[in-house]
Amino acid sequence: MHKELCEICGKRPAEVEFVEIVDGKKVVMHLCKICANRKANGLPLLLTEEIEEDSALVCPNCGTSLSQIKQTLQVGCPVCYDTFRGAIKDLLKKLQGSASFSAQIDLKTSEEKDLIVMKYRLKKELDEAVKNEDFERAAKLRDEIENIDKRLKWLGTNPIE
Amino acid sequence: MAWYEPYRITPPWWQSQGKIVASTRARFTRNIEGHRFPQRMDEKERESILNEIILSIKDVVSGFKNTVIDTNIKRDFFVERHVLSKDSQKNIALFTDHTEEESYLINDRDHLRFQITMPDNALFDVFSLARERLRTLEKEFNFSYSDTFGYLTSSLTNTGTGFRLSALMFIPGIFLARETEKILALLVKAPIVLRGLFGGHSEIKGNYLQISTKFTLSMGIEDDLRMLDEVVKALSETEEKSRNILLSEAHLELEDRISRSLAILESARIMSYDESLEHLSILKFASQLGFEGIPDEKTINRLIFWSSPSHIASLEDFELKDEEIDIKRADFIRKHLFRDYED
Ligand SMILES: [Zn+2]
Ligand SMILES: [Zn+2]
Repeated sequence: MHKELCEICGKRPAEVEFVEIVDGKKVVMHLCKICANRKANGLPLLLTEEIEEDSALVCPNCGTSLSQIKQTLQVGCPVCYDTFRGAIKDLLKKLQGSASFSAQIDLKTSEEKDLIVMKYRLKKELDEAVKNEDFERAAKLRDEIENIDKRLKWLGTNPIE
Repeated sequence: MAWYEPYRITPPWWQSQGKIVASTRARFTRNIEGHRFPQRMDEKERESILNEIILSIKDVVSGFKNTVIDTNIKRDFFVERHVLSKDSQKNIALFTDHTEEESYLINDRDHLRFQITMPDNALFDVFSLARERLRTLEKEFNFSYSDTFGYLTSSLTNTGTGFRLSALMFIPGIFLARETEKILALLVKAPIVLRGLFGGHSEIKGNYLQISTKFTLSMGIEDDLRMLDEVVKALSETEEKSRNILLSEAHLELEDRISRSLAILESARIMSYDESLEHLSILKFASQLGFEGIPDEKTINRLIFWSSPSHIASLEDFELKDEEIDIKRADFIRKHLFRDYED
């Protein structure tokens, strides 16, 4: 096997065969684990100097260092998120396009939400039925959607449930 | 009984036939409040978390197959069954129902990860069932959560909703018609991740492409569902078009390709996994297009599933060397290509 250096940083040994499709063609690169992981997640490369600097910063609860987090994109415990709040926000911004959890996202599960998804699904089936001129099925689907609307309206006026 | 005996079956979710969307999956990642993530836990903490979770999910997983993944052999085997990721840790407890549609992983990268997988385009069904299970689990656990980041996970790519929805697409038409460039340009704009058959980056092979949702901080799970549904639909339409183009404009070339793949599978004595995937997926394609003299798709699906290295080894001996596995694989395929089977 080759003992080459990573094609991105040129400093660490190449350990991973990284395959990408660029312009419809397969491109193979030999990368170190750190660069491969960061490339897979669309992050800019990490300098060796930067890694050394960050390894001094350590989470008091689990012992994970900031450089480990930057290299692996893995944190060690919930406290890491507080300890390295700023750095994690930066990483998340690059990884996910946003630095913190969107306030619009409501993860509470409810019947209302299930019904909204169900309605979306039935509407798509309805479009399909109309396209295929299956009017009997379309009528049935319209009834089902109407029932969901009724239930949603009822839940909306009775938000205790 | 050997640990792999309960896993002798080809999971029904892998038995999609005649479809462009081979399978769909919903996955939630959660951690228990007040504990370090598994990689940073000592043995005692690992054990206590394991017991706590098992106790709380015992009703959900009652009657499930279970095993502890404590060796590389087991890890590779379950990566091939699409239950684990390649970067999975050791000493993971795995629970799956007998069909392997539903699975729970304890103490991998995170305390708990569960997934629902179904054949064909069942995005709505896997979504609904996964959320139903989550609702049950939420009653049992306090999950680690912060107002700033949402659900806290070990990987920063899951932080937020901790939810991933994905579809495994079988798109040989796009690959053969060289429409990849166009389609990738289109997909790059969508908030999705493209992966190969086993979720890794280096394995876009066998004409499968896995597309998965991506933005766990900024997109709600219902938005994930709508978005992925649209992308799957667009990709399926392109695949249909590519298939029609191939059938009308390159019929002979297609026939040639299929016959060559069949001939190789029927006569090879040594076959790598990549090569088997390449040719078996061409046969799967031929079967979907209605070509004659091709094994039925169910048999091909099964051969694709069991040709993976650890699965070939599990039929024989886990000590086999790679070269020996390649020989066994060629034998296995030759022997079963036209034979109806019982799992
Ligand atoms: Zn590198
Ligand atoms: Zn920590």
